[in-house]
Amino acid sequence: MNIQISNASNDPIYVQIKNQIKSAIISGSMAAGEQLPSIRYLAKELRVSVITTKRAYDELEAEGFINSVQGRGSYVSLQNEEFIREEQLRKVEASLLEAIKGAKLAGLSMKDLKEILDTLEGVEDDA
Amino acid sequence: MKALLYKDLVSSKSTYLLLLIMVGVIAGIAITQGAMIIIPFIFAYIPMILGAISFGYESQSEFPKFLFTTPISRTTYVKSKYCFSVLFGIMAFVSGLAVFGMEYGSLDFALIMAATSFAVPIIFVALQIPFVFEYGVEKEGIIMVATYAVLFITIRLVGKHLNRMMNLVQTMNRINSYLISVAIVAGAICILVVSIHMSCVIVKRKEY
Amino acid sequence: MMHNAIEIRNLTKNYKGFSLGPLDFTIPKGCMVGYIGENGAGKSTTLKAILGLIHADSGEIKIFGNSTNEHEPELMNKIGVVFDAINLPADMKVQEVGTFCKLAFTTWAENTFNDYLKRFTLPDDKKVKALSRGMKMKLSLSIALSHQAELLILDEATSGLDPVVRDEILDILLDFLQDENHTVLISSHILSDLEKAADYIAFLHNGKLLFMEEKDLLVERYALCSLDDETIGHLDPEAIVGRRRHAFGQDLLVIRNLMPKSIKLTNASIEDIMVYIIKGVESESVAL
Repeated sequence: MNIQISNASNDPIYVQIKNQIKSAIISGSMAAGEQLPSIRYLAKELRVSVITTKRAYDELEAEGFINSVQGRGSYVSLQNEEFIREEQLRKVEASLLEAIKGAKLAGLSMKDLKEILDTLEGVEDDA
Repeated sequence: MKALLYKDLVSSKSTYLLLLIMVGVIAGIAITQGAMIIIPFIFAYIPMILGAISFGYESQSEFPKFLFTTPISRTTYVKSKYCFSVLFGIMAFVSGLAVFGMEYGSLDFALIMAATSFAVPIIFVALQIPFVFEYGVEKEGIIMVATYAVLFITIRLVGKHLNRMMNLVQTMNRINSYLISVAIVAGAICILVVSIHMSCVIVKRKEY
Repeated sequence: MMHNAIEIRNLTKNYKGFSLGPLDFTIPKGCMVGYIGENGAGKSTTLKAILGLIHADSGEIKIFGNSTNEHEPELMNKIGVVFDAINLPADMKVQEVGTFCKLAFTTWAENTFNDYLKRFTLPDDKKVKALSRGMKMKLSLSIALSHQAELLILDEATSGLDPVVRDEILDILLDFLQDENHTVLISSHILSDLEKAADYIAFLHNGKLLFMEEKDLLVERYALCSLDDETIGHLDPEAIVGRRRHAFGQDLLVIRNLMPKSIKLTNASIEDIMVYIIKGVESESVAL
């Protein structure tokens, strides 16, 4: 598992950790049932506060991505992997539908829309 | 306690060696000059020097600050400062018994002198230590000089009146001389206990 | 099962010209608390009071749930202490220090101590006086970590050490904290050490505790910005915590969510927060 945090980012560190773990789970590079590093080990390796890593794990658990067992550790949720992926897919489709609707209202063509998409992807990469 | 005695033994080996040599020389002179009486009194003043050395390097390194972050209690620390005086007191007693017994052939007299030899290091250390705890080892110099002066005068007095005292003792009942010896030893121990108690109060009150 | 390593209630200590307290705070188990403040703020006094090296004028201190009024020397087995000086006789050799500790601590782990000596390359037969400042500190730390302590207290232990050594020590502290029953209380005015791994920051200023907060929350709450006087005039005055006026404008420490979105903010370090709050406190009222 790779996690890189940036102090310069506008996102709080716990959000960065959460998002990176989330995408690792969604993309499948972290398998269902796989054990995550302990919050203390993660805190030590990343040189962040234990409270930070705990917060990231708490939110991941609340969103259903991981399960934490007292005294045993944290694991990627078993049953939700596919479901989560589909959820994300559905969210993306809904956002795109909104974008298409908005584009039509603004009088933009599909070509214009695709150009905007490319530009925005560049911005997202920089963030 | 063991920890503190170990520390005292290893902390200043060169100084102890010097002391040992000095004592050996003085004892040698005493024996060759036939003034064996001095030997018990050597045992009397060694503990004071050892105490001064111990307090000296402790104050230099602020050792109590470290010590009281270990499980060693203030009471144990205080008691460790008196250990050498008790040890040397016993050695002084035994050597006094031997020396005075041999020189004067009188057990009664030897017993009393041995008891006195026991009492001297104990009492002198007992008088000094609470002051050192209270005022620090820098003033130890003044305290030591005062005690040595008293000790020196006492030895001379004893030396002058040795024969008179011996006769005095011989005229007493044997049992009385035992009582006197026991009284001297008991008195010394009482003073020791009071001194330890006072030192404990001072050390517990102190801040590091 | 108590959750707090240390509880301090109403602690006061008065010296001529300085008084500490009343202090109230709690050090929870399992975390690293950075105790910050300028020189003379009273940090060492607080730590010495916790350790029983000085007597508080009032208040109660509990360690692991037990009041320190009934001072049990055996408790010191569970507390590892590192001061800024080593306080051991100068002529003692490293090996002899180990033997002393073996006789002094009932929970002494000789193998652990020797492992640390090896790790720090501290030679057995070197005298304390021959050790460099960094090596003395490493020896102190080795001792503190070799008697199964659950609470580590460091008082300005890293001042005078180079960043490489300080980084090594940080690693060791983080290792120590892998056990969730272990706690670290570290007072320092070298804040870069605490930036990285402290869980809470307690800020002492002139004997008073200004706050004790999760470090993350501090970083989220405050920010820095650099503005001209005119723009500053339009800001909510509650947003400004501290300022540094200079010839070409002002540097401010502000509360993030009281600031207009349009103004560019940068992250404030713990050091920035400390310095600006003190500046702010000295010259004007503070909105914390």
